[in-house]
Amino acid sequence: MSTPRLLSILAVLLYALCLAVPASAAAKWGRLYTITGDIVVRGEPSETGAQARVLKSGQKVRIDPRDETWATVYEAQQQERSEDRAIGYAKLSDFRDRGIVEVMRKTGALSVIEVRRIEAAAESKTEEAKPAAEPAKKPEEPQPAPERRTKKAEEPRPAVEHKAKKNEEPKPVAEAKAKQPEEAKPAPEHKAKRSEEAKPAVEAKTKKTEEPRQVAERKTKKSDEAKPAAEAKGRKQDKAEKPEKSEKTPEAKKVEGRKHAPAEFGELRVADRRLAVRAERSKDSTLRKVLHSGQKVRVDFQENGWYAVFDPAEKARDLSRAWGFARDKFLLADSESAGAQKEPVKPEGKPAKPEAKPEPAKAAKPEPTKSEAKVAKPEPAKAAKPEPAKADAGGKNEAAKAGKAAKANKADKADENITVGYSVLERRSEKRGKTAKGKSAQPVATLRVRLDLAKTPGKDMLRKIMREIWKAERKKGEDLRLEVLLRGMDARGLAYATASFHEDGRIREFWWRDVVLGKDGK
Amino acid sequence: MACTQPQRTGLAALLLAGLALGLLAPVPALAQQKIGFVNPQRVVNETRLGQTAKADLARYVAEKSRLVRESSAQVAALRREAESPGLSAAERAKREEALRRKTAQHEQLLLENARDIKSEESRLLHYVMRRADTVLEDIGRKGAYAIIITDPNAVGYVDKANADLTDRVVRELDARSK
Repeated sequence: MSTPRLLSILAVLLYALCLAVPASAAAKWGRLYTITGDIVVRGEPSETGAQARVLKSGQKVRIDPRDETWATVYEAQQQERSEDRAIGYAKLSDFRDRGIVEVMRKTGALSVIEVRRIEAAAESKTEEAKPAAEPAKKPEEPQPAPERRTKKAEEPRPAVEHKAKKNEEPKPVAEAKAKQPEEAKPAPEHKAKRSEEAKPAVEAKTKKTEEPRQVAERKTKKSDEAKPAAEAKGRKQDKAEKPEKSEKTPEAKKVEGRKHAPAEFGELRVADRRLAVRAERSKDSTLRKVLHSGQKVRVDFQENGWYAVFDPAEKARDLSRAWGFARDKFLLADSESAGAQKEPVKPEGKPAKPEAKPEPAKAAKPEPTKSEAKVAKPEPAKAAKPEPAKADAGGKNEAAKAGKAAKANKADKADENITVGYSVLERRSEKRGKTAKGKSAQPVATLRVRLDLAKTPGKDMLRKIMREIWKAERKKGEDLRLEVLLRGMDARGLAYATASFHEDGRIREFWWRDVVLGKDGK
Repeated sequence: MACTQPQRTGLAALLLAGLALGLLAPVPALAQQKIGFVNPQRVVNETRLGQTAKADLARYVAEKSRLVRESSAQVAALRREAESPGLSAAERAKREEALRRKTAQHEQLLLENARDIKSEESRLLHYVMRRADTVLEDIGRKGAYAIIITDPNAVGYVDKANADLTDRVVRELDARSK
């Protein structure tokens, strides 16, 4: 080989080395955290230090533990480990609560070690951290999650009691994960606050467990109070459960570190339509990807009606690894989309997972189904609303299932709470011109659904069912008109009943066609 | 048997003449095929299905009328408010503006209702006639009808005894919708 050629190869190698060194150096200190809640950064490592900044949810930072309590906070891209370059100081416990470590990004052992160090620091500082870790270690007496939940719900106790109990009953990892939010209190000063925050969640859960729960019921409630109420509920719960997520994280990390088989996070959901995945939780943000109808994704970090969407195979609960954000209501639970599995939730509640996800929020989801397959589309038509004494319909996201017919038969028995499945056949949208005032008019949509009822419902019942569907399917600010077909009717033929609604959900117009029943309708 | 040349020529001419006559003569088969007529208005009026459709339409019209009544009442109320005495100029202008807007909406509603009713009527009629079509097909096939006309405007004269199939269609349709 000629000398110039050798020299050029050496030069290239040298250049590559130059690039690699800083990169590896960068990875050797601090840890990247994605923030999941507000964290105060102070000018000095002290509670009395001036507040320099507040880290917001979704923000990524690099932290470098400086002692057992405090960590130095840097911008995520900061390479130089110098406190002069730091943003400020924050408590390690805050990161335990509201930060997600990017473990999966780095595959080396370093990450894991650091995680442990941080946790160890927190543990040594406050006993409360221990319980959080314990459940994962000794899952000797796995207890059915629902039971525990019920208990909790029934007796919302002060944080300390919770702690004690938790120590007594170590749970399996999954369960522990679900529980943590309420139980593990990292820092004393957060304890009181947290236990307060946790209460509403517990209460909500209690209610859930106590009432005979059905998938339908969730919807029922929702339908009753209209979506907003349900959403609000979901939000509330979200709020209450926020700590959960942050707590979960370190634990999950540990498990990952130990077993090299990272625990799964979030849940698998299926897009019920072509669905935009955006860069932020806003429909105005950049479009990153489009999910096709039926595409399975992993979701987590539900906030304000948006999910962070991940590759279904994704193992790291790391917001930065998400594809983006998509509206939660268009992402159906995997089982729902599969159709047949959807069953009424028993009073005992679901095992482990339900806790991790704010159920009410799910319930709030109208989950509009688009495909014609009843299975894919069963929707909460009627909820077991505490509506007027008569015919309450149980709104249910229920696939056309065996046994539905029986339920449907009840539809005509006015005094029973029933569940009515429906499938969305078509959604047509049109934009009307401008109003007299020159403002652009409300978007108008016509939704065509098929009720899964064995018998033709009575008119009052039908009105109620249609109201519930409207509540579930209507998008904000939309003038949604409903066309209802019954079993066996041509999907493109005349609808049996049609209704339009006022803004507040009252029925504006309602009529039906007996002629499509093929007889005189009497 | 051998033919002479003149005989052959005569035979060919005969064949040609026969062919020409055959082409010019009316086809007897066509003369056997029938043409029928069905009056759709009677089908709607006289079948149970049609009567149900009419009841549906009446219900629809009633619903639309209810909307119109509500809207009229609102317009009247706004008019009273706008004309009530003792209003300041600004207040009166405000109420008149509201009245003007509501009146415009009301007129729009009337227009839309008329259009909607017409289109619903046509949808229902179409629905009934589609059901009648299946009956027509059967009758046409069984009765060897080449054409059954359902447009009264396309017909100048109908021999009711032989060509008008409306009664038959009504009976058949009723029987099917029992």
